[in-house]
Amino acid sequence: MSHESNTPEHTLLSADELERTFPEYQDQLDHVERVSAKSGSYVDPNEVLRPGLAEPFRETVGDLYTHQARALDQLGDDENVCVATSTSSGKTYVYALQVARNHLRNPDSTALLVYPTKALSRDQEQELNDFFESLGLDITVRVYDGDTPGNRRKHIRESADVIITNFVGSNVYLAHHPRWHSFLENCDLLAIDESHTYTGVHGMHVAWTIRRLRRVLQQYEADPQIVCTSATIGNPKGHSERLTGKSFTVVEEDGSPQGERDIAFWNPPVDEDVLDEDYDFEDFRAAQTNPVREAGTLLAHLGINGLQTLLFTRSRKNAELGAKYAGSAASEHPKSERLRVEPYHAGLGKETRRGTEYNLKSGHLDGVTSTNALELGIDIGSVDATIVTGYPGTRQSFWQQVGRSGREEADALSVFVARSDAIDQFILDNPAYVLREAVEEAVINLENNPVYAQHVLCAAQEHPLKETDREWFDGDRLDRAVEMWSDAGKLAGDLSRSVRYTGSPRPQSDISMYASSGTQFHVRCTNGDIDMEPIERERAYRDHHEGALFLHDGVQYEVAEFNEDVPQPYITVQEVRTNEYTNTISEKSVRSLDPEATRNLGNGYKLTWGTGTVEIHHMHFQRKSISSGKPTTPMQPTGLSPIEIDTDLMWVETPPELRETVLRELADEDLATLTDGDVMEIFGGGLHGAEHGMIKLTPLELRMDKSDLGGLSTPIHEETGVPTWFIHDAIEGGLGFSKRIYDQFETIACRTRERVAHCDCKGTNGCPACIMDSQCGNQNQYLHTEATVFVLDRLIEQL
Amino acid sequence: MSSPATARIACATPQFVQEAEPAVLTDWLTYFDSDVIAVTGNSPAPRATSRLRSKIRNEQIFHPAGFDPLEGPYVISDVQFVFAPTVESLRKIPDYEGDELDSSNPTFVLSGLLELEIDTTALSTSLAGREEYVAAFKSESVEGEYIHVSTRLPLDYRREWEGLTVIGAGVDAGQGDTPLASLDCRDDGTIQTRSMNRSQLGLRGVDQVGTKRAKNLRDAGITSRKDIVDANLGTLSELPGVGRNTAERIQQSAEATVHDEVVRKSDAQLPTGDPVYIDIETDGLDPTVTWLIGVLDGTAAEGHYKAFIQKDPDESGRTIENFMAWYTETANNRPLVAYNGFRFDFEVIHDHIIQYCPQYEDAWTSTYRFDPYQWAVEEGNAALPGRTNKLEDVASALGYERAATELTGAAVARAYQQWMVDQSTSTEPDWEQFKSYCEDDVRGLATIYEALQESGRISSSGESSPHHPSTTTQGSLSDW
Repeated sequence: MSHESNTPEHTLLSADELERTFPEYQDQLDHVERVSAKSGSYVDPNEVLRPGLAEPFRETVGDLYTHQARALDQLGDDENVCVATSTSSGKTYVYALQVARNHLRNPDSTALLVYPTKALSRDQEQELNDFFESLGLDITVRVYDGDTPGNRRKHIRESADVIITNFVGSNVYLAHHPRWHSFLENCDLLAIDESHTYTGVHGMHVAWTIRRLRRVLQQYEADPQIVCTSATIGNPKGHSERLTGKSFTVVEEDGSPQGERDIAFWNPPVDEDVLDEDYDFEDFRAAQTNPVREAGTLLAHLGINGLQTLLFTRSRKNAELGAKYAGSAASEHPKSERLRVEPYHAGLGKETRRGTEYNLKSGHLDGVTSTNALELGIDIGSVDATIVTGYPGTRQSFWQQVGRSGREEADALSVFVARSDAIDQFILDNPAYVLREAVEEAVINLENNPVYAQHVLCAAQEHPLKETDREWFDGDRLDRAVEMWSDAGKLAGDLSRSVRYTGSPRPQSDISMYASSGTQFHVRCTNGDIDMEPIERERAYRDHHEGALFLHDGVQYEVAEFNEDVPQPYITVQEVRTNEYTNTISEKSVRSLDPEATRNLGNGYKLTWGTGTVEIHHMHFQRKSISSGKPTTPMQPTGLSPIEIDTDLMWVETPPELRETVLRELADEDLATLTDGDVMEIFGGGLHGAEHGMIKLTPLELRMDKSDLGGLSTPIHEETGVPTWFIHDAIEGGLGFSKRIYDQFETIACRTRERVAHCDCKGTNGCPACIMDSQCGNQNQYLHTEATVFVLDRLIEQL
Repeated sequence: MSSPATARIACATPQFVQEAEPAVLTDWLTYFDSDVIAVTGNSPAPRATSRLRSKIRNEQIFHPAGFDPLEGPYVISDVQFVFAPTVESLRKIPDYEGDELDSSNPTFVLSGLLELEIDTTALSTSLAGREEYVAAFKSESVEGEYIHVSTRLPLDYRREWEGLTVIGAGVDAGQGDTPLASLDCRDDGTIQTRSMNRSQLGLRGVDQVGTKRAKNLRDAGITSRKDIVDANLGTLSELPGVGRNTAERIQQSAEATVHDEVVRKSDAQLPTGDPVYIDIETDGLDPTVTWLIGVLDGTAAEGHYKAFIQKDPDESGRTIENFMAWYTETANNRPLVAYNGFRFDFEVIHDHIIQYCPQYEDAWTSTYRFDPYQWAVEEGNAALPGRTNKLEDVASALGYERAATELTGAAVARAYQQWMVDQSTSTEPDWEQFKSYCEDDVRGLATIYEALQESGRISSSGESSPHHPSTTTQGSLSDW
């Protein structure tokens, strides 16, 4: 079947119909949300644009949406603007029209547009060239990035009016800025597309790269206006300002029309009969129907019924698997039809991806299974339905994926297929969380010194540093960085005259825009090719010690050699095929606590945020069978010494009496007869559970991944002297997350308590849906759900 | 001008010493021809020292992390050294003065006791081992001048740490892509560094030969460049992945180095017109200023040398502007020739024209620029003689003798850097010496160009080949 007839049977475009027709339906549908249609609000382009621009725009596109008109008004008033409206609300037109206006005022005017991915850049190049041509304007738009052939580069730099690039490229091109002088001198506009994607470590690098770019532009006497286009996030103004260092006006009232949409919340069935009382993490996972398989079956059902469907997964491997599952589900479907479905992810070749985009747009495919590579604005036309497999980590991303179906005023269906973990189960319990609440805030931590210091070095190479550069580089902090690099032999001179770069050429190429520390492990493969970004030290120690198994792009590798004692540390890996995974046992301690902010909650409860040293010793590992979860090898040493991370952390201190209160409430026997082990199991399990639960549920508030955080709990801590749990940023120098947890502690603590108290799991060990965590270095020993709820209740009473 | 007494230390990590093929090791030792070999880094690597001992004749080996390292005062080639594997050795230094050491001459203290610790989280760098070092080396109880060289610091590291002049001996020299290095320690207390890439040694130093082909050659019993020259072309052609054309090029390249001559591989023409040879001096590899442009007008032997120089660091762009004024007025349309120009000189001049005298940009972009290194090596039009493709090595293989004091580009750049920071009589560069250094380079360049012109085309079935990757990179200024 295909969509060539372009008359899909729209009967299935509702959750009720899905429930009625889904083969072997087993009550998977948990909740349905109907989002009603909304008509658009428009403005005559003549009210905003000069007639020479307004008329051709109206002829080729139509009226402006109100948010586009407002953004253009603000730009006309010399403001920097962040447009934060829904997917496909025409945000591109805002900066495209500003480019057109600037061009009409000054034909030499240039603009730099920065996109988060190369694929998006290529897609937009064509669109924009077509757009300017349709307006009758002689504006040349060219992509300039790592894929641009060397012999084209000079010509593009010197002749393009608009250059599209990405920040990984910008970081490097700044080293050669004199070659860009004619472009930079005339630069009137910097547009940062999908600006919400710049958070965490990458966000820090981008924020400093933008400051370096603005500093170089200033040398050429250019100070372009900035437009950020963003998905809806919680803090568009604050985020844009931290990202760029300029003040911003936000436009977020969306004038675009929307059709009616059903969002179905779908829970794959769990076979509870196979679980005994003492089940562990692996048992639970084995009992649930694989959510990717379930999603594939849904895709097949929708596709067979004439709905072109886009299925999102969380990994490349699952995108591949999803397509296979959908194919086989189609052949087992009662209507048994051949389904045209293709996977899509960044690991596939460009040609393949272009082909899939085309086939999707032109209706030659019934479905595509994709990673978030298709989440951002690549133009794939409209699909009828989307399936979101597993919560994508943020509400913002959730809506972005959902919003890929039913463009403009067409009706649409979206299905959220939950996995068995805490966040997904929380969302099934509380669909209002994704549906009603404000989207997350995007965090950029400019305080991280290791990242900052690398950019200071690059800035010195780009132009000698002077006293006035304290404005760009955070005042006196620059003096410290200059002294450090001078002592290290990489800078020379002083700020009162000039500080020059004296290290090895092009420090820009030493920056990995996705990692914080200087120490990174390169990955070499002995029996094949591997295309893998260098790994940060902290992660290498945890996941890539000798003997560790890991997956990359759907291929399994074993680490054969771990070599740090060389100038360029590396790991050597080899491709393997096993049905095992490795589980690493770690010991962790926290010391040298230096509080920066404290909230005394009374009765011995206290919250603190500050800095400290986290020492982690990844000591042993063991292989386990993927299917049974049972060990297949004895414990083996990793051969690694402990590593230390100086980072930010927040911690919760409780009164010492809490121990007895918890035990009295929850232990079945007389307190006097309890062994130390019993105490650890109950009280320790409560603290440990609270720590795990909070880490697992923090991504509900902040745009982040839970591996950006780590934790530790202890019935008595050396430095605090009382029962304490810690949550720390997992990266040297900090990411800014633990500070935000401190700031938003109440919300996160209440959410965690809700999830643990309402979890359906049996017994007190918890489950992956509440407090069990696959990354726990203690093999989830001990966890106690009732004690967790009890401890959190006492704490929340004090808030 | 007479050169000061110089003792050379060749520096390499034990991993390099242990893993290098015999021909590479021999090539390395011959190239640097040093007085002392310092085994750097932290590893005891016992096999490294024993392997070196079997290879060398008179050189001293200093391996502070190794077993029973060299210790105490030595005078080598008229330069004073103290080898200090432990802090205990530092304590004895005052006793050597007046006896083994003449305190009116500078002494180089070689150790593995000082190491950099860069803490980017705390934004501070410390010199690990300094406290113990200073406590043992009591500067108040010695009279002479001491320069402290550590094998645990990177090459080109040099800094004053509260009165202690600290210099790096290449902690990772020869490891991975880091170049091998030597330190020329001179009796005026200065040190000059030289470096070369590992890939220029042994069979890999031959054009077209990478790691894989070098192994195939060795497996076939061909272990030196001389062996390649003597080998039958048919035998070479039959090696895995080597066709007749490649075999020819391999052999030509080896011939060039063995016989010290240019071997032409194509009919490609050199530019017509009388060349203007240039060489620039800057303040480093990421230059902010071009303060000297040496120009040779005429032949290597008899051409007229002219130096555009800018002594005042605040007159940024003066040199470039004067040079461009001269060129456009008197030499317009003649080809500008610079060695490795497309990687450095031409690029820097262009950047600085944009920055300081943009009125010359059009004139600059329309000049005819020619880079003999790129033309010969990268475009495969000729094989150059010399142990490396550096200007000084190629020119010297062609019989050119430098007139002036031995200097390196890095040392010249550093001298100007110091002058930029602090303009006083003590930091003022010896301008005449630098002009002569630059003159040596342009005359060397002219020698190479003339040799390329004179070289007839050797019979070859291959056409001028397209680009292929260079085996050399500009790792440091001293490479060129």
